[in-house]
Amino acid sequence: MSGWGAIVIGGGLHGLSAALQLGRRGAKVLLLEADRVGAHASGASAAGVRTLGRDPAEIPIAVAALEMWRGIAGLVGEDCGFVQSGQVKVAETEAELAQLGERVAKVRALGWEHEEVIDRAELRRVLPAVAPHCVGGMIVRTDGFAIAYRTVLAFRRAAEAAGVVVREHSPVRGLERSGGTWRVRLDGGVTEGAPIVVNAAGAWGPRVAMLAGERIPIGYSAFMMLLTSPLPPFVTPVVGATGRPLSFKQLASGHVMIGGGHKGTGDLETGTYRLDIDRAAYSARTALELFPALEGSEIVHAWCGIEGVGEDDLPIIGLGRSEGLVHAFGFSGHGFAIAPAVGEMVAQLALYGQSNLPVAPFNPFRFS
Amino acid sequence: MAERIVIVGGGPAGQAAAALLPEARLIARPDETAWHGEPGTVWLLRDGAVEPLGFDTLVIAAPVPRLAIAFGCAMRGWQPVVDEAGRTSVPGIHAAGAIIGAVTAEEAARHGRIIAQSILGLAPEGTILSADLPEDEEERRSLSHGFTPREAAVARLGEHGDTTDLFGPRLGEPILLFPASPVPLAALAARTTTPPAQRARQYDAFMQREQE
Repeated sequence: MSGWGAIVIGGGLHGLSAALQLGRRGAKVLLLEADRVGAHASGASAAGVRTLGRDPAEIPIAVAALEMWRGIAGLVGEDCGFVQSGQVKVAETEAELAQLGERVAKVRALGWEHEEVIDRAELRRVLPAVAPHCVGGMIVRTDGFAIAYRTVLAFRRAAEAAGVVVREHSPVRGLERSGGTWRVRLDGGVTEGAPIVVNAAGAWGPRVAMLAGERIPIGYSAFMMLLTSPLPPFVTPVVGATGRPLSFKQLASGHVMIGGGHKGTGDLETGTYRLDIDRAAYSARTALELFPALEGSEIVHAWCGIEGVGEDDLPIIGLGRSEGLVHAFGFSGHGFAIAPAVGEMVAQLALYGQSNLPVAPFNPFRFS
Repeated sequence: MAERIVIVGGGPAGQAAAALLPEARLIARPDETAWHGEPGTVWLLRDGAVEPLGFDTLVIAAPVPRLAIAFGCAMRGWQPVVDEAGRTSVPGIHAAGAIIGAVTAEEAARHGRIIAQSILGLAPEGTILSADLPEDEEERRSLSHGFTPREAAVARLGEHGDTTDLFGPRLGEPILLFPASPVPLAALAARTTTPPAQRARQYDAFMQREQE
């Protein structure tokens, strides 16, 4: 079958968000997912909705996305478990607190006022259970978190309601451009065609780019997450550390989700991953040192999400060299929050060749 | 160094295997729990501490499918796929008893003995029939030694078959989860006091081959 307006490759949150926005703009969209929707980074995400501590290049997108999260039920039909719990980055030393102060000053000089520095007393007011050695922090009170897989499914349903056809277990084997149309070759001799292709294939994005003859050779990581047994409520905001990798939150169920940067290893051939127990152990240690209330808990689940990572830890978002190709992948472990806004950017790039939000820092070819 | 044989599970299958393999290390609850694994290593919880235990040969004789999945064993549903001698798709790893469908203690013990006999190079007293094992002999062979889970899956189902139930063993879960059993956070945290280096990003071997 042919006659598609756009083909989106990748059924993660970014592919679904782009498909939703293209569908709402009247395009007839086919979304192809090699595995199952949300099978990797999107479903495995810590699902932080964070403007706090963003690279300056990402701030406009993160701020626009946070506005969309506040009305997420209007966008996708349900609230995705989103709560505006706030996000705090804790300083464990005076030197770290000074570093956070410089950061906030730098961001304010750029005209953004969402971040603020908080002292020891205010830190204890927002985080009563934090360890005594913590001296202060940086906070965005309007940030929060959602529930990852629930969000993926909500975006899928909304996309389908907008007319998007989602086809799982459909790996793309070839991409050829001729006569203003992309021929997308699938298994079993099936070919689909559309004038627009969106590469939202996450860690597999470089492979899809290569099928179109474009070299965007970024790396990938398997970001590791831990989930504890349920505990009585002791922390409301999402908590990060300044001097070591950590992201930490307590869900409504009482379970505590611990992530924030330590990595296992991933295998792109099989889509499987391997935990790194010693690094998981250090994540557990960091969490325990910041929140002694974790002492009696157990790790009940641990997992990794395989995610594309740029050399500068920033995503690939932009037009390909070939006509009718848009790349949006490699969100480097912090793409979940910005997915609603990036979907709009991708739809704008695909249909109009430009985006309302600044896209230049994410140029797909900036490394070559 | 002598071959290190580890048996996980102190039920009838594990006990029967251990009886024939006196050199083997038997991991049994409540003293020790094998809560996770990676190639060549099982992770134990023992006396409230987390520690790795290396092995050359492993017998999974406890109903802990997430342990088999952690080693990359080809799965059908929640059961590792095994051949006549209880070998999983991963060389050196065997599965016996309830985890491969034994419903009586006698059947589980028979699995344990057959696997031990096979490890010792003795003629096994019979064959293990994994539930739903393919009848075709060639297919059965394809599920034994020397195959990666993907190869075993592809051999069974063809290059473009739906192999997800075998080598992508998420078993209906959105994301594959570990560990096989809960582990105390404080015990895990006690393993390390110094920050590990951040692991560098990985690069796609396939892309690098294409480049050359």
